[in-house]
Amino acid sequence: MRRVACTLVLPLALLVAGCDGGGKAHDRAAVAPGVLASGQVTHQGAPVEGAFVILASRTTGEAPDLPASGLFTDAGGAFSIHAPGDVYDVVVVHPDGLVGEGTLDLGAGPATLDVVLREAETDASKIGPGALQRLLSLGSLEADPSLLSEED
Amino acid sequence: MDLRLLLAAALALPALAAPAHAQARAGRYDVQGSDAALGAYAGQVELRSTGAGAYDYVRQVTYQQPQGGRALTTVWTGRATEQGQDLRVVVSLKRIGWITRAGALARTAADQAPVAVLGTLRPDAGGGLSGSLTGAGVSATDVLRPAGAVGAAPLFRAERRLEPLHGRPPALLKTALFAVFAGYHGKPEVAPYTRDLRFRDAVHQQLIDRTGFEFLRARPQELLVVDQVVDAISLVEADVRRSAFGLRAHEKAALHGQDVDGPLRDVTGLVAYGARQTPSGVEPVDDMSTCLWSGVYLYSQALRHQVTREAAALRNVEQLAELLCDLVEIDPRPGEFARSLRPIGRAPLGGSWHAGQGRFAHLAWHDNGNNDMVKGLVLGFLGAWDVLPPNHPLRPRIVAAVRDLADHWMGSTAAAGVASGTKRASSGNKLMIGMLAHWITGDRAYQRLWQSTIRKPLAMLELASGGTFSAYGIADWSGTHLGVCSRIALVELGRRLRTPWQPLLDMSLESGWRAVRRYSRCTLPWSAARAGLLGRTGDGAGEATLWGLREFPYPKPQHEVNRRLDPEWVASPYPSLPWKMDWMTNPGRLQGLVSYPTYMSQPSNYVWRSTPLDAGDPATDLARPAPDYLFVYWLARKGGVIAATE
Repeated sequence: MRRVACTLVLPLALLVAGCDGGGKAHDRAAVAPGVLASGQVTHQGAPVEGAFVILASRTTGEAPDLPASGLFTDAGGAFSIHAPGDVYDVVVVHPDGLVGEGTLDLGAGPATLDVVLREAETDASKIGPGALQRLLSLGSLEADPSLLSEED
Repeated sequence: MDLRLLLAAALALPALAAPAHAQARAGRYDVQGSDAALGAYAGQVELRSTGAGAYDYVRQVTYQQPQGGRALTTVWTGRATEQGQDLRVVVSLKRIGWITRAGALARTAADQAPVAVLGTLRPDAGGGLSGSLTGAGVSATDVLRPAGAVGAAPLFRAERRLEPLHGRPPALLKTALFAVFAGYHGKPEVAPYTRDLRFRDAVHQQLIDRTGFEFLRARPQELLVVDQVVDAISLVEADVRRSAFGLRAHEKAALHGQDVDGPLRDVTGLVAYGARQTPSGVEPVDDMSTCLWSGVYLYSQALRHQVTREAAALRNVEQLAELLCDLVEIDPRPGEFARSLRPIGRAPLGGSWHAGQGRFAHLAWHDNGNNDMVKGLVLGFLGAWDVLPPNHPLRPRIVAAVRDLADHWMGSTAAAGVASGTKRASSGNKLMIGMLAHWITGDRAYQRLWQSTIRKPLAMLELASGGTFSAYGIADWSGTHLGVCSRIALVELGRRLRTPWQPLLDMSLESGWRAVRRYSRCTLPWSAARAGLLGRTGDGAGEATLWGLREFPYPKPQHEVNRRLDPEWVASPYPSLPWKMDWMTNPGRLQGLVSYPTYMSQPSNYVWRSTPLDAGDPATDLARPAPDYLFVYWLARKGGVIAATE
């Protein structure tokens, strides 16, 4: 897998970091097993291990309360999650600067999603108006990127 | 024999002998001689054949007369070619290194041309070669005596190369950036470089210069000048390189530690910005951001104590933890804290400086404990909680300070009317503070708060992507340090809380490291943290940490560095920190295309906050502390990345 120096998702993340998603902090009880969502994450045709799968509910704007271990892909690039029945925007991130996105509709039962990761730095259009922008639209953005230092 | 045959044979002899003669001078020679300026010397010359009567030439000589109390060795590398029985030597010596002013001597544009040293060595009666080597201001007389064949490795090899810091920028992006910065390119200090192909390529690079490392490790008290004219400035540069490469990492840690615990600690006990020597003694200068540097230094001392059990390290932890508590307590507003302290009479109050009340009446405090400074509190309190004895009287104060932060930073905005930072509510801050509060208080309310924060999709995205960035030479350099402080705190706290989110916290450190690691002069803590905390020394993290420490000098040099005098330097097409939107008015935004090793710069009071692409700095009369070095050193020691003997 080729390394990349940076990803476009990182500046984008900078633009939104600090936003709390617009939801109130609350204590959520562990959810029931839910509906099976599964899939495979690949890059250039090869499975990607260790990618992190982020689900954002289109209903609540929040991530479902899931065991953290299920959110990482295994050696075969596969993930398998039981989540509440809902429609989710999905963003998958790998430390090598790879990003991908998709949608999972668990409203009618189990669903699968195969995600192809891209080197996000190469072309902004590849990020597309998909789930990432959906994420960006959540909550109130601060005037400044919150991770930028306030000093010179 | 026919006379004509004899004549023909005589004429043919040189031609027949030519192939053997072409390498006849190859070998090592002992050399002695005298330099017009530096006096008598002795050493070795190596002639390594490259064929057809040509040689790679290396001359390494040590002078009898020390310079500033230290033995001086010079190395010249060049070419030698046979001309009949003679050997013609050509060497090019630079005048400009990186320091541009030392004492009464200053570099000027006239120094940009190298000095060509030419010499002719001729067979002498002693069975060797002898002759003079001269150039502008350089004159030496060599006597060479054969000393055997050349070895497998050269007598000396300069180790200097450039490595790209990123790939070629996409054409569309470069076009857009060049359009944005068109006005900047027209500024007088930038315009001369705009036709340079390196400028047009816009690929930033890192200079790797490990020349002389082996020599100086073997002879750490000596000076080495390589392919450069010896003068007052190059001798200072040699001493800086000597301190960086000659001293071992643990020796530099001890020396920097003595300074930061001595003259470079302010009278308040916090880490000073620096100190100047005055007729009446050492005068420390307060630092408006010492909350961060002192907190990081506290954390390093906690690591040191865990590694060595040294009482001095624990004393540092105690003293600094108390001061961090003071920073929180001296600001009477809930959830707010001071970022610096100074004696009440040192300077007038006003602006951001306020008079302390009650037991703090002897102090002035600087408000605006913000998004940046809070990292110092978190790392500092984390380190203190690790090593302070169980019933230490500071523990209740730390609990109170952390509760004050958590209660106000996790669920509310800044207090009205004060500039405590608009970014306090970032998910990263909430996570760090919430996890710290959960760990040290055991209060499950804080657990709910940080676990709620980590489940936000954007918080996950920020964590998974590393929360920092660099894009084609543009980065928030100070932010990279804040980012690694956050990641260290998150990884450390996650382990103490045994959270199932640990893989995501580890991934955050990994992702951030991958994004910024190449700029290692500025981002070394990322490599040290990745190698030390995650045990991942591969992909260069361990090597970067080791060499980053090796390239760090003692003490921090204070000399002027003006890279624009270096004919090899070229400006970056992008100003630093462009989001500050002041590139047309702030001359400090000028940056170069190349990152130089730490010893080839004038290190700031905290290197990991400063651009690695600097265009130089004026001389300073301030001696500067090195909590930056100690942060990386003790991270590396605690994680087993470097040995105690390194």
